[in-house]
Amino acid sequence: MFLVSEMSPHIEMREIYKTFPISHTIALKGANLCVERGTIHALLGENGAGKTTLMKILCGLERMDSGKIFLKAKQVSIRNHRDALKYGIAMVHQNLNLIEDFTALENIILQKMPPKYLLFFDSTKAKQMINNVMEQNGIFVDLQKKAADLPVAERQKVEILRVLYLGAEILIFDEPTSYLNELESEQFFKVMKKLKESGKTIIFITHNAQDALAVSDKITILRNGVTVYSSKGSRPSLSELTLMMAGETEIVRKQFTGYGSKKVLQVENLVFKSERQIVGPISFEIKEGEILGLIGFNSSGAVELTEAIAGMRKTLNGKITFHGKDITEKDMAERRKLGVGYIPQKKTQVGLSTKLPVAENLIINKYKELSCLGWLKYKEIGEWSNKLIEEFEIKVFSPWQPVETLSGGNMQRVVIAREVRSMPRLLIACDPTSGLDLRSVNFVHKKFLKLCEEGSSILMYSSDLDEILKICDRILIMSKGKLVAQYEKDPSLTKNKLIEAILSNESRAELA
Amino acid sequence: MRVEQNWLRVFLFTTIVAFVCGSVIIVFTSKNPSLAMRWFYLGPLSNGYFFGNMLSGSIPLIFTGLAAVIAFCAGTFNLGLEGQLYFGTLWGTFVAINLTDTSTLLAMLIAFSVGALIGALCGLLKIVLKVDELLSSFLISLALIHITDYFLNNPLRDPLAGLSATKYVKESIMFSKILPPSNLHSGIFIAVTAVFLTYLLMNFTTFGYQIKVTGSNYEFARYGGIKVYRVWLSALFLSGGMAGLGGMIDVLGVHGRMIRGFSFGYGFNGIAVALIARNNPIFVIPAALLFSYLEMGTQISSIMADITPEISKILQATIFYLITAERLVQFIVRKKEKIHGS
Repeated sequence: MFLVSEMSPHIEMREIYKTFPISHTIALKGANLCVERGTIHALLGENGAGKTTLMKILCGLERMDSGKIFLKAKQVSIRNHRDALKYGIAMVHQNLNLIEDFTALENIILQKMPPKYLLFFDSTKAKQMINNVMEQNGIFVDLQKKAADLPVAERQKVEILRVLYLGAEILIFDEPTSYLNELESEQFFKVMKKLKESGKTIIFITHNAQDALAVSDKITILRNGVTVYSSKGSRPSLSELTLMMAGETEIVRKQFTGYGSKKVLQVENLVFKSERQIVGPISFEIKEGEILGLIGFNSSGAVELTEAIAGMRKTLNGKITFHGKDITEKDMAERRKLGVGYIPQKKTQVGLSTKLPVAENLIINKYKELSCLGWLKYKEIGEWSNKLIEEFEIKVFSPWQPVETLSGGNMQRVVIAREVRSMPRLLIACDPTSGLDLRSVNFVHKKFLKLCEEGSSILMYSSDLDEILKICDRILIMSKGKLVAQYEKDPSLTKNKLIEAILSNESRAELA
Repeated sequence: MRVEQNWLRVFLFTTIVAFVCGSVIIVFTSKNPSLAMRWFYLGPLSNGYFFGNMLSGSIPLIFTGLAAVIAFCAGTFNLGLEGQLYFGTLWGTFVAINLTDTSTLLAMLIAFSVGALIGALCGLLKIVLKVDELLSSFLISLALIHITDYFLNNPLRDPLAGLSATKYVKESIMFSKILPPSNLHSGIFIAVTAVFLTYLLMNFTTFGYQIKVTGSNYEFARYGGIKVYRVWLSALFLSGGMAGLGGMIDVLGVHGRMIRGFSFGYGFNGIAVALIARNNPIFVIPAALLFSYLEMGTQISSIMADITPEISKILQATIFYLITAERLVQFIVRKKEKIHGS
């Protein structure tokens, strides 16, 4: 009996088709997926391959045009997310939309509260039920803490507990690691394994072949809406996987060529306030043609530092000098005029206005040049947009289509295209490639290196240490609002060394 | 975006649904439903007098509608249109009456500036003290209405008039009538011009671009180097100015003097007009016409048929609610998507 259920697929999706008429895209062209019970199944593919769409169909968040879904060999129809939940299928959201002022407990039970006298909410019973769930799955969080006080990894656990509490047996994760750093990812993989041990089935969407190999039992690869591979027996190697995902790949790596001696940016004793702490005093400099990497945990203030230098955050003290000019008190507009480009971490919230057309998003740092006496020159705006769309391979059918109709990776390309193409003298990039597939990452890195050859400098924060090691000339490590270490690029520098350096300055308790 | 593409069809569909619901109300409340319905629906179009009055009634609504559109597009909420209109018109009229060498243009300019300054004041409060403009504009407007009433009752009251009103302005600065004996006046051309100019401003200028970006995502605007505060301030300034202008043109075209309560809700109705027009300046014209048409229908049917003013107000409100109902629109759009999708 046990063997039978082990062998037969738990979920099977056959010949799924899906088109989006609004954006004229065909997302799925007969995709197949077969997931066995109690396994971790990786759904691998490049950006825009249709992974998320396929899973949204399974969760009832999108409706397919045609195709069949089988659950335990019985055909089912999933019309909305309630249907999906009835079959025990739920998606764990990645944007971590918890209510900040609510405790973990309140966030978990929000959707289904155990009632008391029909009217009131029974918190003891709720606590008991959630404690049961936590014990069954071996995932624990502090239920009394407010969501705002929880670190990212814990918040993710709260999200997981929320769907488990609703009775999910099949959990779907959409790019769970793209906003986690190396260590947090490790932690997260452990959580997934625990879930598997307690009998849950996990489908995990990723563009990262390495992650897929690290945790999954089975792998399915989507390319352009078609299933091109589903694993049977022997495990493929990393290079085989990437080949199947994309076709060709090459690794871009910055060669140390020596950069100019001219200082582009000089930060002296900079102090500013972030939501968590006072950051600083911080001093460093960037030379012409240099790529400076910045790493640290979420609590380190590294992201906030990039924001402060870009001009999005007020400083309390200290001095920022850019090409010999004091820009400490200058606002975003003036910094942009002087040649500062900025790729923010929150690309859709800050870096784009998703309701506006692609073209209008592409010209935010250039619209004054594309106008005459206050009138926009639409012809030139269209030409400029088409140029960027072509050069950065943004998949659109018209530059006048709203950004919200693009896929996540293409939205990101819009931001990168705009900032790189404005030829900034200093580009501040915050997680520029998170959520992009390998080919796009290489593409972005090539663009960055070309910028540097032309004499620009880059300050890059990234939670992906491989990326930092690949293209940075110098690496700064931040912890608890201070700069704690600096590494020159040399071949002996490894990822482990960097992780150790971060950890030695951070209390380990915070991560566990 | 999607809604805008289907705007006309959505508009027609909701209008028909709303009118059917309106008819049901008439059937239930009137002893002679067919007569009542005829006057309510066809009355405003039945002769030149009613038709002209309908058109002239839409003029101030076009202005307040534009005022709301400008504010909404920039992501600000100007709920004080009524007060801005009322107070602006008061001072415009004051100048028109008391200055010997006055002109139509000057009166309009004064009304515009006063309204605009009040709008800008709300913007300043938002920027400096972080007061939500939704509250400040509404409360300031409430106070201004009472202050205006005081002026109309006491210092500026025409002692010979039987009601709280100022003296008449000079005949020479009034707009000429187009369709006598109705109230329709040449101010309607200014209204159409204003719509056209606003449309150009919002869609073809850098300032319009700044407004659009700020309104759709002000974090993005700030990130892009747009001075968000300046955009908010100027949008509220323009918005208040438009409202003041609308009232002044109504006085110069129809009443000839400022009467207490001459604006029966132009400000708030302007917000409704903007909602129906989905923040598109061009669509403000049909939306304002519809509003004015219903207003006329209400008035006519309460005179000519057995529908009491209260019932006609309910009728008007029902139709309005249905037309502004976002849900309904979304429902239709989704339905269409499904049809195209399969």
